[in-house]
Amino acid sequence: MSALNALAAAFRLQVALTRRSPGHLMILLTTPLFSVIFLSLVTHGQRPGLLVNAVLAPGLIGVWLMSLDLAASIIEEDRLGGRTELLVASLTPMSLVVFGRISVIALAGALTFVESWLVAVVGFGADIPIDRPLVFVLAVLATCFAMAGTATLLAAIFIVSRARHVFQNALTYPFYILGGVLVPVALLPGWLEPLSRVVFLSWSADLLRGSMSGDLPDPWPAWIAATVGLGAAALAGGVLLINRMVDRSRETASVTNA
Amino acid sequence: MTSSVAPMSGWLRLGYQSLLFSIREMRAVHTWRTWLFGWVARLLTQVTFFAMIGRFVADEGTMRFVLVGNLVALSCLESMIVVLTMANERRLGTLPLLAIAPTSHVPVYLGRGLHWLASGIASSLIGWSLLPPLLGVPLPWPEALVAAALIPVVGICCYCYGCFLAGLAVRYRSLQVIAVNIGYLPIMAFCGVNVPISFWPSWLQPLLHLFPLTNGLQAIRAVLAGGTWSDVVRHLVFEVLVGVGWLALATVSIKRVVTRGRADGTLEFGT
Amino acid sequence: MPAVVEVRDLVRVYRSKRKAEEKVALRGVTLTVDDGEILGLLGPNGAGKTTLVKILSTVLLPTSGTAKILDKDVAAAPRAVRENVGVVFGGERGLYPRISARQNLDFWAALYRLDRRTARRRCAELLDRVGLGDRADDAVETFSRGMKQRLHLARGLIHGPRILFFDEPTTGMDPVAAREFRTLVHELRKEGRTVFLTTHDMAEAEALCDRVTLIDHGSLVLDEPTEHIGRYLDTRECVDFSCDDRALLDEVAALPFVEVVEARAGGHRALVRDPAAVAQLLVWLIGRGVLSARRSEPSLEDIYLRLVGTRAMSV
Repeated sequence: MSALNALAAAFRLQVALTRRSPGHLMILLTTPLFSVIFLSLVTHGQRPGLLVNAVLAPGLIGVWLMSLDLAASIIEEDRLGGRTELLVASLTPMSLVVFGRISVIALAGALTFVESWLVAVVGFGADIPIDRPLVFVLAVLATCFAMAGTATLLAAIFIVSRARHVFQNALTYPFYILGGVLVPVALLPGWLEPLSRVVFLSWSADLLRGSMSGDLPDPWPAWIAATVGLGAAALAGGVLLINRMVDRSRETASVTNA
Repeated sequence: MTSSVAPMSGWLRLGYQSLLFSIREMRAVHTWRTWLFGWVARLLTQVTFFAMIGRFVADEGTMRFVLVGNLVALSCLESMIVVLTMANERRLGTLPLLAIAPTSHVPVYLGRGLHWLASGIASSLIGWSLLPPLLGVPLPWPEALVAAALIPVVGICCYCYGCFLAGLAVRYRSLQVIAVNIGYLPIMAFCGVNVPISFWPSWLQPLLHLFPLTNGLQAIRAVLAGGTWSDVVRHLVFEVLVGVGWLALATVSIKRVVTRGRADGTLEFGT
Repeated sequence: MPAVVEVRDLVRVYRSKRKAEEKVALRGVTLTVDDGEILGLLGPNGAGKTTLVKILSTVLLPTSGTAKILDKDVAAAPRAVRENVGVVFGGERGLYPRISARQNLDFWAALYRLDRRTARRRCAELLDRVGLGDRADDAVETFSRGMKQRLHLARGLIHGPRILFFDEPTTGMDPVAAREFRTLVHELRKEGRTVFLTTHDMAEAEALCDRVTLIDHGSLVLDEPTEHIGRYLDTRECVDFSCDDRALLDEVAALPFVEVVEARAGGHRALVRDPAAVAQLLVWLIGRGVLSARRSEPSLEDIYLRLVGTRAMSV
């Protein structure tokens, strides 16, 4: 019970922090431009039935980028702000606080879906109803959970990794390709498909597209389970890694490896 | 005692010094390995991502179109990073010192991001040679070689535009974070990178020609399509004129940082 | 009174990965803190004070030796220790500056497993108690150093711990703020809490603590009730001055109210037996043209020299 309480407190903290420093929400400004690029490509191309792909891709990219942005800085900022030791000395594991805070941004990232949809409807006059709204909402929630779990793992990896720059660079476009964010993974070269199925984005992208177009994968609950499952696995990895990091910091008095 | 150095060569010397600093800075951040396998690889993945969309939504012809556009746009993307390096220069607090020196601070600031321009042109050219054959849409030869020679021109014009944005961002700190993205994303969206300019409303098209990359990319596409020399040169001249225009605006913008700063007391450290 | 903090032969070594260097921060420290006591740990920068506090608050593990809080080992049972311990590390860091004091406290309350209702009530009470009640909803970045420190104290008290660890709490505070803060610390003792406080300010140790331990280069040099140290902390005893005249120096040393004249970096120091003699000596010196004469405070070095000179080193 107190764990849920702590999670909620971390959530509230991040909401308060984001309201005062909305820098994390910058992605909300760039998403419409991504939408324009994708929608123009689809509209100009010879397969107009792909509007759904073009509308959803900026949302997936938006959720990913926003969460990545926070993940890259969350632990380091607490360290620089002198709060890490206080967190270690408290009764709540740091990993819980990290997950709770990242969840806020993952959920806020879902706003990019709305933005993208607005650009399509207002800017391109597109007509894109949602065929299975309930499944769509479930898919969005599953995506946000998986994103928060993955970002928690990434937050830990960022802080212990020595090749941060390289790592951060690799985390964008390669993942959009592997995640089938616009071009479905089924169309990727065969040898890439197993790799892409480890990335939760591929499951969630198929699911979101299917719930909009009506052409759901069968059985769709399995896709929800895969998305949530991969997110949970990433979360577990993140928790383990952060706990190990805290233990190490108590031994060596330093949080990073550097 | 009068200075025996003419103003122009003074500017060139300062710009050159600034370039040397920039290169040293680049070396501090990257080894050639991290640059190639970290940074350039990431950029090429970005280009591949868009090229794949080109094939997915249409056919191989579109894929080639999108591929060419995105490869050229790499020089634009990296040039925009001058916004951050210029802001960094301001943050270092050298502006008050530059302002009272007998020479101008403008060439120093203009030279600040030249290593990114160089990186952008290099990434573009690397991608130009590697990706078309890799993705199964090779470019016509020897036109590809001639077209490649035009990429640096586009890069330089985009850099001038980037300097203008940087001059604004240096003064208005809240712009810094978004300026890079708001700099290159609209160009990627509207200036013929992924879809031809004719796709956009007719009232918008003339405006697009005022931005860097638009005309240069048209010149490059004309070369690849085996267009006439007059066509290519026309587009190229426009591109250069646009670049000069943005350079002039950039110079004014950067100068104003000091004049404004002197007037309202914000010349101090970049806060 | 039973000991609530027991430290035995505590050693902490820092190893730098890159340089393969070792730094010994604590060299076998042994001390106890009794229930309801305020213990001051004095020492210069780098002496090991912060390291000791971090180990006792479970932020750091000892290299060897034991430390127990209420009979729970800090290394083996950190959770149990954390329930009873509050930390006030203080300074400019340790808070979320962009949000309000109340929002900061609310967050920590939840991390210390208080339910929402209790947390809300406790936060309001604590904010009032530390004098931040009317600034509770202002962003912490608008607070002065003293206000931030009071918020740190509120944060340390949020779960009602029996024992509090303070690390240099009044550093950087103006005298008024520091005095107000010390009043708050006095109140803690009235509530029956135990306080472990590190400082390099002698006057603070004298004002607040029942007992004072001195640490230097990782070893305890002294462990005394404050009133004993007080004898040596009389700040009115010293007069510093610069003078090159050998004959004058001999005259000063021969004065009846002067105990001894010591050479110091940049001049001399005269120690007087009686506080009232300070004024006498100043007048005497100035009358003879030694205009640099001034009253001064003993430094930690003086105390060490004094104490180590008159007592055997004890641990």
